[in-house]
Amino acid sequence: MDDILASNNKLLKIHDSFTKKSEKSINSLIKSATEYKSKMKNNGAEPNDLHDSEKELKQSVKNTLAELKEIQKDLYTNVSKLGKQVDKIGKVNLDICDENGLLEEFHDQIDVEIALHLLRSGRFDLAEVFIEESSAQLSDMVVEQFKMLFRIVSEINNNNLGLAFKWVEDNKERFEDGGMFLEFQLFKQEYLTLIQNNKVFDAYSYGKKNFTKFLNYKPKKIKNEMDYDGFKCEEDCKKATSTGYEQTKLGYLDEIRRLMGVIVYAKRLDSSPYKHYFMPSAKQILADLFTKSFCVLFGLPAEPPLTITMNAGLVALPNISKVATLKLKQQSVTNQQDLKKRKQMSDAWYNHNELSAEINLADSLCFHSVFACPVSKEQATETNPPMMMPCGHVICKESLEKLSKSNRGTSPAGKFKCPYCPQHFMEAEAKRVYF
Amino acid sequence: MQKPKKFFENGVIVVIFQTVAFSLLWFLYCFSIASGLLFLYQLFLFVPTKYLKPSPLLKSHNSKTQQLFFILYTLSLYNTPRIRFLFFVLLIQTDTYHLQKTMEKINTENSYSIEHPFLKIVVEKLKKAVRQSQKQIEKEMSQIQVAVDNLPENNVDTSEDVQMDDVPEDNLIFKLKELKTKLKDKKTEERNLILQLNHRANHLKLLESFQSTNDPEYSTWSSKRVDRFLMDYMMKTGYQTSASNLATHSDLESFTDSQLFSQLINIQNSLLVQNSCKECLQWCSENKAALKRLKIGLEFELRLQEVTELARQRKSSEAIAYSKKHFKQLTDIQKQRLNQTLALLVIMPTTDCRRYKSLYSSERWPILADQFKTAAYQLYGFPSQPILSVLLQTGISALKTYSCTRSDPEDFNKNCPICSSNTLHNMSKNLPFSYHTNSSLVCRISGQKMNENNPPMRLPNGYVYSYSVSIVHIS
Repeated sequence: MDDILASNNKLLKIHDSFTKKSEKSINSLIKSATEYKSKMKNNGAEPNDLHDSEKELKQSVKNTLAELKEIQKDLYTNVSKLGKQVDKIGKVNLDICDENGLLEEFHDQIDVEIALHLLRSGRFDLAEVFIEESSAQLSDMVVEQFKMLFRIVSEINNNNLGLAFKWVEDNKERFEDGGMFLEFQLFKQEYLTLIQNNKVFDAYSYGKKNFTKFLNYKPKKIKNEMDYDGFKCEEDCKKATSTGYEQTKLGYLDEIRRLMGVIVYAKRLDSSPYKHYFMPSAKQILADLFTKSFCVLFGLPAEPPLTITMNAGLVALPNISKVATLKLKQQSVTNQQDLKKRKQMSDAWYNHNELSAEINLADSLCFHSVFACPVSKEQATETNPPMMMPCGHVICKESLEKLSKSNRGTSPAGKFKCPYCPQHFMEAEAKRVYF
Repeated sequence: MQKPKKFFENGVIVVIFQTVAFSLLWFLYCFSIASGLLFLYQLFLFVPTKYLKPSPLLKSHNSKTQQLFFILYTLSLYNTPRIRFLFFVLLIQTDTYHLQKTMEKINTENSYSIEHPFLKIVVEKLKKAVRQSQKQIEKEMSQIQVAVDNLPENNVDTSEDVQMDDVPEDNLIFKLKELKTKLKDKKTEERNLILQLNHRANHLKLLESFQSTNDPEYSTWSSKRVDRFLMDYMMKTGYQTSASNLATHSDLESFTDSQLFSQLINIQNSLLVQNSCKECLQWCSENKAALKRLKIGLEFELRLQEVTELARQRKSSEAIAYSKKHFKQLTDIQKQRLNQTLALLVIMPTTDCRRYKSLYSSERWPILADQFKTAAYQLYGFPSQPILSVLLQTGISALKTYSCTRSDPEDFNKNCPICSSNTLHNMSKNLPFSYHTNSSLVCRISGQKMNENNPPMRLPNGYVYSYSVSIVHIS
């Protein structure tokens, strides 16, 4: 990028100087033409003199012409040099996965996805224009809900929590804990604002009035503590963890204690141990919390799917393209026609229904467990599930069977050795695991 | 002494440790079960402090952990015939885990390579502008030359007649002034393009200043990038208003090429909707040299279509005149096709002959529009489809696992784009799965990645959850 910037700056300088130069030469040409004209008008001039100046004019026109041409040529070479430099960064073939025609097939649906994306990010006017232009099919209900959410969030940022309280109240029964957690967060924010505005006594009475009902709140005990079979309360837990409810498991008492402690430091919040409550990011956290709980209530993912997919694509594309190009080189399709080449290009990026390159996505982009057998390097499937040996090592069932077959007879009593540690087991001792 | 962290990263240590431990265990077990058990217990107490620090099971000695340990321990005793003491911690190969750590860094080179069209388009525009101004200058200059050449006869011969003389000089000066203003316009246009390129390159360069993906600045940058790709998609699919709105909204004005794209879309529509080749032919003549260089026979196709249209209207003589005028220097294949098309002059548009019916058919227009699009994209160095679609396809493939396609509701993850979004799920049906030779485990409950800090725990029923979740549930 530095190279491009440097040569671009150089180009700018060259361009400026060229502009000046060409302007100057044209100006001088105009000047000499005007002089010539005035001489002509002035009839007193000698024909010889006229002839000379005419010659001069012709000559200068010729010179200027040549000069301008030269300048333009120079400029063009500089531009194409820059072009080559820009081409250097384009190592990725963006034409892979071309032939699928997926874009045409799913054009409408992609439009809907984009409209949702715009709505989610709170750009309603944009979304409206887009929906109109692309005629994406979106129900008004969805749009209204999103509008509601963004009114709440913007109100929170303006320190106005009335709407948020109302929303929690309205959707009370849809929450696991009857909206207690969100309500508490709102009370907390209000209370902290009072302290920040130096209304310590108001804050005290406010806290006394509103926090009491949380004091005796005991979070619902998770049923069947010892019920390992499939975690019956899994769904609840998912909800809880994704909205940051974990704290409630411990009750609100600790938090309320801390909050009341803030009063002591009311006059010197900056140096207090509680100053994190007053960071500007605290408000953002509350707003995010609302967005997240909103998405949970409506069964939406916490991050817009389009962004996630594109981020994954950004990581994957260069790798995929690299492998595809290498593969093409191996196949040495040089003399083929363009169309055919392109077709092969699009075939080269995958291999038997799987990508030809392994993409290591960041943790935040992993959503499903993938178990690849360390022996066969194949992914586990329903028919080839992961099995854990008594030593704790896990391999796939097929590899396990193979191992036990090939090792039969070499070790005592139908046992085989774990490929990763020196222990011996029976095949039947391995247990299925579920990730 | 081996540092605790290394323990998990280094499989060899695991193997050595287990070999030693197990052989000792076996030895003692043979002699006396009671003393063996005692030893086990001692070993268990001894091991954690020195080697097994990262194992959270043994990290803290609070009552919860001990309780959990006790439960799991007794359960495992109950379930299997042999005593095992370390084995509930799954020792799945840990090499995947350091890969993840490096992923957080930003790979600028890869990111730049995707942005290539973003810069390339400006360069192409700049090239075109310079070439145009060059041509213009040459044209103007030749006119001036003519004007100058006209001077002598008029002057020398009829120097008496002032009235007559006024014309050529004025003409010359006028021409020069015209050239000056035109040149100035061109130069400002070029300059703006150079500045635009500068701006874009500077924007991309910001990427180098971010340390990792956790940088808050990076997230704004990357959300801007998402917007940019969306805008690109909008421009290329003809949602011009949305594109320009998005540009104003997200402060992307200097990154739009909407003018160029609306021109291209207009030409495409003129082919598709109005069925007229005029605009497209004009575009062809503007870019004649470039098209010739890239060996794109778009103009030929358009001319053929014009002849077909004339034949459809039964204007034979005009069609012949037209083809005489426009078809020169044809290749063999082109000649053949021209002959075929000219045969239409004697064949009615209602013909049933398949060969000629296809020439008359209205299907030709979308094909032409497509050819025009390909030609234009090739000319400007765009990839053949919007970058959004490439990214979506590769992204879906990278995210798609076998779990996403299973009907089992247990496998559904709300946060996974493939599971949650209908569109992406439908698209994913035609795309390949991601390829894995290394495992990566995600806790079903918390959605967190399981690694050495949050290791996977197997419960006796075979289900594996991350440590942090298991501890919460059991206590």
